[in-house]
Amino acid sequence: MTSTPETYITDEMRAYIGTETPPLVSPPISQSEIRRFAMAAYWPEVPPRRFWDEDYAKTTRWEAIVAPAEYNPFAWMIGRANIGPQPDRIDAEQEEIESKRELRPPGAPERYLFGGTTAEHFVTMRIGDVISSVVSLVELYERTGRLGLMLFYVLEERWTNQNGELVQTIRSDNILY
Amino acid sequence: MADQTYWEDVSDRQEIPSFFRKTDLMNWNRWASVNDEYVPMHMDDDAAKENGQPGAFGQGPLRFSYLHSLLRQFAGDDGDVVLVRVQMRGINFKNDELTCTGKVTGKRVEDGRHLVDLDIAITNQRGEAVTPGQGTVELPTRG
Repeated sequence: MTSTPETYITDEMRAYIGTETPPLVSPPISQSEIRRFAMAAYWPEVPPRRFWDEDYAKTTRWEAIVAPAEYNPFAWMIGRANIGPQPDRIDAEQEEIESKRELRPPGAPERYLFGGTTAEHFVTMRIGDVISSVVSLVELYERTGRLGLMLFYVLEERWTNQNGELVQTIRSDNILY
Repeated sequence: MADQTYWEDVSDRQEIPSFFRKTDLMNWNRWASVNDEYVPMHMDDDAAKENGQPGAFGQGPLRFSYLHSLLRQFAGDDGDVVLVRVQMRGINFKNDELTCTGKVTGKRVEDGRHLVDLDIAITNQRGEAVTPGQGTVELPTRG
């Protein structure tokens, strides 16, 4: 029987707090991508007109088509390669990018649970915007629960646009045990 | 202009209109196509069974999106979603009926923005709150 340690947190792990990944950079957001994303998000209903009807969107406070707040500009060849099969050509390099973005603390236990996520939205994403995403490890702490000692590591992803404006922060609470 | 909610008209403990989806591969495959999220467990029952689940199940980020849609529906075209916080407590399988709900917990003005805070949740047809959380929207004012 494996005994549970009194703590998982080591000096090496503490030193890892504040580690930041290189930026992931999206291609410019296009009107068609916004329309398709909205169709998928709202299926089987027609999405709100402001996401696909240019004339209507001009009458709103946005004065143009804007992206839904949860829109993902990094899909297809830019990121997230570790969550499904990928073409061989991009597999190796994308895997490296994604593995860096996991920021799993060194020496942490292997078993994983997703704790939750918080997205805070700031500047709206518009057609032509280029979004950069940087992930950092912001917090490490432990709790004891029904799974025994659990290590929580908190990541914060910050999206900025081409003007350096903050678009959103995504905080994710990850559990290792 | 679609129906617009104004900050002054919102009352504490008010329940906002719900957002409903019965989900299956038609929803999940479309979500996969715009996010490059072709994970076998979300497309194939056998792959899900190999991982200890009874069948294919929906993507967590799609439920996160449904809660954004709930808040957008309430905030209207001139409102905005400011914050969504969720816990993923359960899985949603084929033909699950997901009802997204929200109840106002407070109103405030911060840096000139008129904000409404809500408790939000997705509850399935068995009454299980599979995705509880909180949300904040910014609303226009009548002034």
